[in-house]
Order: sequence, then structure tokens, then C-alpha cells
Amino acid sequence: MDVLDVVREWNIRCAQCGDCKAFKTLFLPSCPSGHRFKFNSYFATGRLMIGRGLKEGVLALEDDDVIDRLYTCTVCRACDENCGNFPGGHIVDVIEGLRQMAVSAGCLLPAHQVMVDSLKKNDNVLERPREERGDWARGLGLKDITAGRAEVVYRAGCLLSFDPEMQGVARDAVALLRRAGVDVGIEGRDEVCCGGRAYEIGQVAEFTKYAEHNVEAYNNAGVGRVVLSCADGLSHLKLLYPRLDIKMNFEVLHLVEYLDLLLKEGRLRFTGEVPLKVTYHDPCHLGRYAGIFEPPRDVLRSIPGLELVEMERSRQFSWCCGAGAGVKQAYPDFALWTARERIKEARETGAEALVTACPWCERNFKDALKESGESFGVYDIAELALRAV
Amino acid sequence: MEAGVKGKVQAELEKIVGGEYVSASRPDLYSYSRDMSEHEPAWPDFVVMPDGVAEIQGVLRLANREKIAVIPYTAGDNVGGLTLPLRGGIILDLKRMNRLIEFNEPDRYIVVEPGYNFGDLRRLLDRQYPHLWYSFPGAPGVSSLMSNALLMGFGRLTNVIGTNAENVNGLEAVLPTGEVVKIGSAAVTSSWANRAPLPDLAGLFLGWQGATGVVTKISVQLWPRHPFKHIRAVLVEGIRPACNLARRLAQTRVAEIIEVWTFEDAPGADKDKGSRVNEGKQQGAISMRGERTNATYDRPPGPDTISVVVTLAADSEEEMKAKQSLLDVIIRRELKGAKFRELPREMVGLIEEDLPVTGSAPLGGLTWVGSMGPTSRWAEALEKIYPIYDRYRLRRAAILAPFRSGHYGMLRLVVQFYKGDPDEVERVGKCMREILEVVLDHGFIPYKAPAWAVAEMMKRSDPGWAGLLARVKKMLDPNDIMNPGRYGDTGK
Ligand SMILES: Cc1cc2nc3c(=O)[nH]c(=O)nc-3n(C[C@H](O)[C@H](O)[C@H](O)COP(=O)(O)OP(=O)(O)OC[C@H]3O[C@@H](n4cnc5c(N)ncnc54)[C@H](O)[C@@H]3O)c2cc1C
Repeated sequence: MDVLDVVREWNIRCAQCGDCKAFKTLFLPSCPSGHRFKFNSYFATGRLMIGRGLKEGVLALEDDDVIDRLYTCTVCRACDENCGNFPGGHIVDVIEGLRQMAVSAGCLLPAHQVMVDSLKKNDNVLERPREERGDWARGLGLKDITAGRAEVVYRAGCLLSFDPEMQGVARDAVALLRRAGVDVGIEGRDEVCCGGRAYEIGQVAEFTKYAEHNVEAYNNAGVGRVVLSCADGLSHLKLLYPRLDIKMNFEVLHLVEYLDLLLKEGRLRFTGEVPLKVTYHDPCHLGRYAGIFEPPRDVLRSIPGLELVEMERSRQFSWCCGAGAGVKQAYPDFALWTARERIKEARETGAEALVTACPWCERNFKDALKESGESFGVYDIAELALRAV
Repeated sequence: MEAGVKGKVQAELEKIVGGEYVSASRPDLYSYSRDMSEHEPAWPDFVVMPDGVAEIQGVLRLANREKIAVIPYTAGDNVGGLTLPLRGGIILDLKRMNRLIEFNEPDRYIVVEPGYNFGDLRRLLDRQYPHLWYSFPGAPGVSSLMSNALLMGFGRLTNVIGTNAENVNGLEAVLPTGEVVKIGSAAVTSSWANRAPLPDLAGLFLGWQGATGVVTKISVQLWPRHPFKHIRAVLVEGIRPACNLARRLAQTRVAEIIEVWTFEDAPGADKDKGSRVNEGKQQGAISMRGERTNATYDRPPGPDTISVVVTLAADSEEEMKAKQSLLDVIIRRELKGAKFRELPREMVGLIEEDLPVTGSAPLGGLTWVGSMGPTSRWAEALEKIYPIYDRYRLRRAAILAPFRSGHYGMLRLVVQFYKGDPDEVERVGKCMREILEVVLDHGFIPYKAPAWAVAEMMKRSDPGWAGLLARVKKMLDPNDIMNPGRYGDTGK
């Protein structure tokens, strides 16, 4: 049975009612690509129809427009949140299944080919030399889990490892963990990509390779917990890796979950004032995917002087940042447009800054601001939390 | 369409609306070639998204010159195949035109563009005008308020106002030949407040399914949203007592809407009959999902349990109490001797939220023969229709509602079906056709009628009426470009 036989079922069951196009009860746009490009084929319902058209043989993967529709999706799962017929992630599963078929048929977007080549050569999607992987931690004196044991391993992931503007987030994260007395180590230069981006663009073999490698590495190192600042990485480790059916002898936590725990256990305390009015952007992979909505808010609320206000589209009804699933690489303008929409919404709350818990979101927001020449604060939670200890 | 002509037309369309908003790409065309109903797919040649009256005029003039079909489209949720381009041509997707042109609070009306949808209005009223309301349908939030009114659709104030077409104060339209016309008071004054007492030209557009022009603005009335609301539902055994109760309640004008649901899966329906109760609340929306394939379905014997759901609204507690006691009296009197019980409170709560129905097609297919006609013949029609469902091994499902205190009413025969089984799709098609015959025999007229139902009706219609319809269509649309296959189509 090929992927199409599996997705056929869901394609048929999509009634094309359009519930996927707007957040139910809020009645606000939910699908970035549909809202940006307007034609039905850019909404979830259109993509499911494309699957059906492929099965019927009236559409072909060799058609560039078919590929375009399949890859302008950030897999943010807002559609799945709204679908009354089959809630629970089936739409994005279908889209990812169709992408796997595109890859098998050799229909790859050039920008994604670059990512895959980079993975093969450097074990990261950013075309950066493998040797620089651990540079963000230089001088911090962190334990190396490939050489010794640590209770917790902090996974910086590709973006925080290589993006000089973002590396501070990883440093802040480990600083917070150390303040709380956590026995934390890193893999340093030996850390490799989580493989999640590869999965999202349809490269299952690449994904499997990295997933197997990482599980084995963490199992062998005997770590109890893997902690990440990257929401994408978290959902890939927590939700995708178990699909491989390899026993994982460790727990996977996002930094905000861990900070929340440490605060509640009294191991970490915020005492310094951070007088800032902020709004929190739920990264899709942390919120809709992993269901982690309250811990980041609890952490923010624990910071003295900080005021948290909500955007209307928040929690499971959050608008995507626009960076996910290879969209930022293949459709940079669309990715920035999506981020600008979110920044506009954040400003409307009266907040001075947007806080998030994923480097991909933060990067995209910062790029959107840079491009438009506007100024608005964008922070990772770790940055504000560290100011408070 | 021949490739050379197509290229030329595409270039002209791009000049009119901009290249970004014209598509002849296969995935785009395919995604407009089907809807949720059982109707055969049909591909357009172009999808065009205009923004503004001038752009629509440009597209229509071009289409009229080249004799290309134009199908106005907003969300494609009509459930009757009405936006399937039966003779190809241009899908005119109007979702970019989604402005609220005027909100007139003192005179309680709004003027909106085609892409303004029910979600937009619901948001606005909830947040800024909580004392005002609209007859919201169960349709998805993304479906167009204008299209619903033009289709003579209806919502949750049916016992007060009837269809939403009766709620229209006026409109503006672009004729297939490119001229712009206004209808109602806006044609003569600066106000959009009323349609009467001018000769009523709204009939040139209402009910026509987009076959006479493209409506670009519509003015509709808003209604009070009463602070006190109460839903009462009873489960009645047997069609006749349920219909009688609904009719009697309608006449008192005590309720905003009275619905009769004969779903086997309706809230509270008897689980022992092999049906499943709705899964219930799901993040604030009403869900009707559940696994219900018809492939092996045979109706279990036993009486039909029918829910009669009554929505009361009032401005004060005293008014509500008075309405409730009147309701009590009528229920006791009308159901004397009939078997009935109250619907559990938690089921009623779902209806109270008044949100669009979601998950209404769990097997991918949803279709119906919806019709309007004399409520006195509801029960008789249903008694003939049920055996048709049984014969085709489909689940009996009907929704009835009296309109304007029961002067007429809706009779909607629904089928949820699995699109992946050709046998089931065929059975559904045949079943719908047989049901239509019964419906027409009993004085009911199908609404949002698919092309085959229109054709069937035309066969039975008074030749004078049919002739006039054809003349009106010819006058407005001399080249038969607007939404082919609908009313007044000459079949050329
Ligand atoms: C689950 C579900 C529940 C529903 N419940 C109800 C209900 O309770 N009550 C009810 O009345 N309906 C109901 N509907 C039917 C339908 O959704 C509504 O009537 C809806 O408002 C149609 O809007 P649309 O945007 O989908 O129109 P479309 O399907 O896009 O268009 C409908 C028709 O209008 C024409 N049209 C569109 N725009 C224009 C224009 N500007 N000028 C001229 N013609 C135009 C089209 O050509 C077509 O013939 C329901 C549908 C679903 C799927």
C-alpha cells in the first residue's frame, strides 16, 4: 500500500466545508498560506483535494504548482485544530505523506535540496561547518556528555548552535539550569540535527537516520532528561521519535516546562524586576503539537514586574510565525509576511514585546522586523527569566 | 477552451484583476471542481479573484464578449453543487471583497460585500453590538452572508422572519453585460433601509443562484438579541404528533425558532437502535461526528423518536416565565396521548451556544433535498419519504422548521454519505431524486436546488411562469454566461 492509499481515505473524507480556514469560535483566519494566497488550493481542504487528484491521476507531482501548494504549508496544524470531521492531526499527516511522495518522485524544491545537502555534509540544515556546532558554549565550562555523565542534557539544536544572533538563548538557558543546580551537560560538537525538518519536507530516510542516532546517543549517555529550547526539536523528539518504535530511556522536556518545574519545586527563584509588558506567542510545535500552553505562561507570570497580556489568537488558536517546515527557506517572503501579521497582532495588545519559546519563531520575527525597519521587542523566555534571577 | 483563446483571455483577465489573482493552474482548477455533495465534478478554465465593482465589470464584459461562463463563488458551501462550473468558464471567487460597507445601528441594518462571512458578523456583534443579532444559519463561519440571503437561506430566527431573503433591504449588482444597478431604497436615496414600497426588482437576483448577475453589495436587517434565552426540547414518538406540536407552537409566535429533528443520531436518539448519539461538545462548537458508514446499513425496526427543539428569547425574566408557561400548556395539550419525554439538559446546552455546526460530513459527503412548502403536509410527505431512505439503505434524517409563524416551512431531507464508495454515491443520487418527486407532489419547492432538481421542477412548472423566467434571464444575460445549468438556462 503506498502513501496515497493511506491518505486517500482522508482526502475522500474532507467535505470541503472550509472549517479549516478560520479558528472556530474566534472566526479569525487560521491558515497562513490560504490567507496569503487566497486560492482554495492553498488551504488545507485544497491540499487534501490535491491528494485526491493525484490518486485519481488528474494531477501530477511533476506539476510545479502542485509542489508549490504542498510546500507553502508551515504544517502549523491550525487546520487540524478546526476540522470538526477529523480533529487530531490527520490533515498535516496527509500533507507530510504527500511530501514524502514528492521526494520519492524526485520533485524537490531547490531550497530544500540545499538543506538536504547540508544535512548530508554537515549534520545541520543551515550549511554551517559541523566543527562549529558546539561553539556557542565555548568558555562556559559545560560538561560534555560524550565524555562523562550528566543528569540532564541540553540540546541546542541547529539554529541556536549556529546563528550568532541566537546563540545567547542557549547560553541563557544553560545559565538558568545551572542557577537551579541542575547537573547539565551538552553534546558539544557531537550534537547533530534532530531530523525534524527533513521529516517535514518529506525526507523520511534522513529523518530516520538522525532519530536513530540521537536516541542511541542519549540512551548510551545514560541521561535522564533531554531539555531543549527549540519547540520544533521538542515535538520531533517527543512525538515523532516514538513512531520509530525504539525504546527511549530518557524524558524529553522543553526548557519552559523544566523551568516551570524548577520554580514550582523552589529550586529556581525569580527576584529581579523585569518591568515589561509582553505578549506570548505559542510556537505551533510547543502548543498545538505538544499541548504545552500553561508552563510558559506560568514562568512569565513568575517574573516580578512583568505584565503578560494575551493576543486574541493564542494557545490552540495561535497564528503561526511562518517559519516552519521549510517555508522560511523556500518561501522567505511568505514566511516574513506571516510573521508581520503576528507582530501586528502583538502590537495591538499594547505589549512592548513579543516573547516566544522557539528559536525559529524568534528568528523569523526578528527578520520580519529587520525587513520592515520597525522596532519591537522579541525575546525568548530564557532571556527574560535570566534577567529575573 | 481552445489554447490560443485561453491564453488571450488569461492575459486580459490578468490586466483586469492583476496576475496574482488569476489562475489557470491545474491544482487550482481542480480544487474548485468539486463540492461536498454527490454531484459530478466539473472543471473551470480559470479562477479569478476580483476586488471591486470595476474589476467585476471588466471580467463580465470580457466574458460576455467571449461567451465564457461565469460562476460567482464565495465559499462553495451551498450543498447543491451550485458553484460547479457545469460548462467550464470562470470561477469568480469573491472572497477578497469582504468589506463591511455600512453598519447602521439606529436603523439596524448592515451593507456588506460578497466575501463578508457569518464569522465576520458574529465577531462584530459579539464584541461591539451584543444587543443585535442576525438569523445565523448552521452553515460554516466562512460561508457568505450575502450568498445565504441570495439563496433564500435561513437561520435561527425563522419563525420570526422566514428566509434571509425576506431580510434584504436592497442590493447592488453588476449585470452580465457590465452595467451596475441598485435595488431598493439605495436606488433612489442615500439610505439602504428598505425595499418597500418600490416595485420589487430584488426578485431579479434573489433565488437565482447567481444566474442573473454578480451582486456586489447587499443590505440586510439586524434583529434584537434578547438577554434571556431558553431552549426546551422534547422527544416525541411518531411523526404526526411532533409535526402538530411544531405547527401549533409556530402559530403562537412564542419562539424564535422551532426545529423538528428526525435524525436517528440526533441528540437523545435511542442508542439501542444501533445509532450513535452525537459526540457532543468539542471546543465550543457543536459536533455531529461519528462513524456512520451506510455500506451495510439496514434500518432497525421500531418507532421514530423525533426531537422538537424550541428556542425562546425574552427581554425580561417575567416575559420568559410567561413564554415558558405558554409553552408548557401547548406541549401538554398537543402531546396528549402521545409518548414523549424531555431531552437531557446537557444536550440542550449545545444548541444554546448558537455556533456553526462542525463536522457535519464525517464521511466526506453531505447532501440534501431541502425544500419549503406547506407545513400542513409535513407529516404526510415524511411518511412517504422514509420508506425511500430505507429502500436505499440510507439513514433517515430530516429537519423541519416552520417559517414566519408557520405560514410555510422547511422540509430538509439530509444524507451524510461516504464519498469513497461509488455504490453508496449512486444510491444517494437515486434516493435524492425519488425524494424530490415526493416533495414536489406535496407542494414543496426545493431550495438551493441542484441543476437536476431545477430541470425536474421546470418540467412540472406552469408554462407562463417558465416562459417569463426565460425572458427575464434572456434580458439580463443575453449570452447565457451566468452560472449555466441554473434557473432560466436555455441549455445552449
Ligand atoms: C454544515 C452546513 C450547514 C448549513 N446550514 C445551513 C443553514 O442552516 N441554513 C442555510 O440557509 N444554509 C445552510 N447551509 C448552506 C450554505 O452554507 C449557506 O446557505 C451559505 O451561506 C452559502 O454560502 P457560500 O459562501 O458557501 O456560497 P456559495 O456556495 O459559494 O454560493 C452559493 C450560490 O450563490 C451564488 N453567489 C455567490 N455569490 C454571489 C454573488 N455575489 N452574486 C450572485 N450570486 C452569487 C453562487 O453562484 C451559488 O449559486 C449549510 C451548509 C453546510 C455545509
